[in-house]
Amino acid sequence: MIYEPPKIRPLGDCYLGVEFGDEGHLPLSFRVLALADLLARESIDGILEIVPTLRQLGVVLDGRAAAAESVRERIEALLPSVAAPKSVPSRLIRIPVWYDDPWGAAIAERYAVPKNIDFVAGLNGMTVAELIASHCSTDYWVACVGFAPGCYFSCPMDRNRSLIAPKYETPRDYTPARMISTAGIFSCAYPVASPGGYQLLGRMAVNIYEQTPRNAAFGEDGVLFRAGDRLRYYPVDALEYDAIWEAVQADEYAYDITEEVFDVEAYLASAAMS
Amino acid sequence: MIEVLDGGVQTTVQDGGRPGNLAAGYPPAGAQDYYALSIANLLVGNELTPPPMSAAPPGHAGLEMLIKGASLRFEGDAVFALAGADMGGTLDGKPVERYRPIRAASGSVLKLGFVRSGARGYFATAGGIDVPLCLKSRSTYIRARRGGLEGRPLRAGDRLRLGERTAPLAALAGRRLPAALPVEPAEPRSIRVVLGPQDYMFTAESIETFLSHDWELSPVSDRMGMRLIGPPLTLHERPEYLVRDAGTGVADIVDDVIPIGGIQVPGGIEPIVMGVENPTAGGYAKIATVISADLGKMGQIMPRQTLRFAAVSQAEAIAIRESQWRALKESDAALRSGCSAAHPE
Repeated sequence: MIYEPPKIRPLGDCYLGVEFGDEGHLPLSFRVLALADLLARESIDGILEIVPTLRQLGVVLDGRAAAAESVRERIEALLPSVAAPKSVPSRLIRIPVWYDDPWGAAIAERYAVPKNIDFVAGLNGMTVAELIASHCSTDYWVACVGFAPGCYFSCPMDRNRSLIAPKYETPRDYTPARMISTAGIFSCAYPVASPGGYQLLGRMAVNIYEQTPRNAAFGEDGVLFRAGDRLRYYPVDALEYDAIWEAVQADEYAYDITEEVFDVEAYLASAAMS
Repeated sequence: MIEVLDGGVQTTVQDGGRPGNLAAGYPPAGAQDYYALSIANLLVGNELTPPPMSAAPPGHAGLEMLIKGASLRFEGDAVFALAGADMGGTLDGKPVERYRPIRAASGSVLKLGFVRSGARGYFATAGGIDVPLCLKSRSTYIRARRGGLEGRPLRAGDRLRLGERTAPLAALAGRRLPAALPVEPAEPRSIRVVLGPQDYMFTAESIETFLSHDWELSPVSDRMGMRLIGPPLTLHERPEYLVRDAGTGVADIVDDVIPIGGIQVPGGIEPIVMGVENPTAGGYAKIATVISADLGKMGQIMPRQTLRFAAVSQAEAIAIRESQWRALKESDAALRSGCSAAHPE
């Protein structure tokens, strides 16, 4: 459901959540980011930071009772003017992936589940080769960076490329770093080894998080992606994977990042047609 | 310098944490019980620890010790203070009290044992623990191995540098807390929450159950999340689009912000109260959110102990936090101006 007007809910005492809806509808992200932009430009007294997710903007309050009510009122006053912008600056980051990789196979064996990429391909009526081709044939919109440092939540920009995939019924207690995954509407990756419940499709040959940031592509926080970026996966074989990963470890890899202006209006028009 | 002789169960360098990085996926980290660390800092003339997610600087770093404390040898004269859980501290074999500054001569050994009350003990020393800043904070984020000393709990052989003291040791050792400042919460097992953000997904009976039942803390608890054992909670049936977008679980939602203190209820069973190392976004319904002023109380509950929730409004929660923080700041100002002589030497 899309909320008109958006709902403002308390998240404990430290945050307000401004919700544009409860469904996984990609265009909501443009409005979330438009509000984030507006709040940043207005530099409203009493706001500590803002946290975008696909369908909701988290607004962190600064803990002063006097400011909390006025922040809410300011947001309410701004909401009617929050609309998807005509265009936004958005980086396109290309990510090399070894699909149907040996780590994914080992994880499936360890947790006694079907190899995830076979399972997801079957659910979607595709062969593994078709699944890989489909997964690489659309850009993904990074709607949120969260869960853990550097972890992104992205959605296929071509809705026809959406995959059906459930989360694990019992989450794994281990996932290798840099595994890419899918469940529900999201495509995600694991920045570091961690528990997880998404279906694994492959392993990326580059980092999305550096504990000790070395490469200029990473900020001081060691995080590659930001909400509002787009990413595109492309398949590499074992030899290419090894070569890229070695270059990354030696800090000799140039991350494939293009600064672009993304035409939101044209995208929304074409998405409405598809 | 301080040498760590024994790291205990899990001893970490903590301050007020690093808010401001949520949009990159960083939880604030910092002391799980900010109030206890703040009291310890207050006693030794350090900068106070602010409440989590605060605009104030993170204050001096101290140590957070879980369940069983550390053993430390002072290399150089120092003044320290203990607060939070009672870990039966001894200095060179003689018992030391909590909640007062204590002088330690160079070479002396502070030993802390198993908790007798509470779950997390705090140690502050004049000048604070000096580890490199990571995103403007010295706090340890254990799961991502960032901040603190090499991003990990302390172990035997570690050596901790101390920062510069604000006053001579003798003056610091004479500091006493104002009598009016509470050192421990009045109702340690009553945890206040603001309902939501997804309380509307639960049945009215389940909200009632949530607020009226005793909940037992599971041993599967850490700074990331504290699991609770109790009755199952029932959720309303979800619209079909949520099954498609979020997943088949009864509490699955399209991922949104998980606030610190947020109480996720995956599958309607075993609610998880998010700590200061929370995942910053996630996809399970949150029935309520523990108020920031009570996150410290939550962190002092031992596994197998029980607690109860009580609902307050967001405005009440902000007021509680503000008055708690104001009391600390007023006590600090009083001690700095030297006019608090509630317990003259």
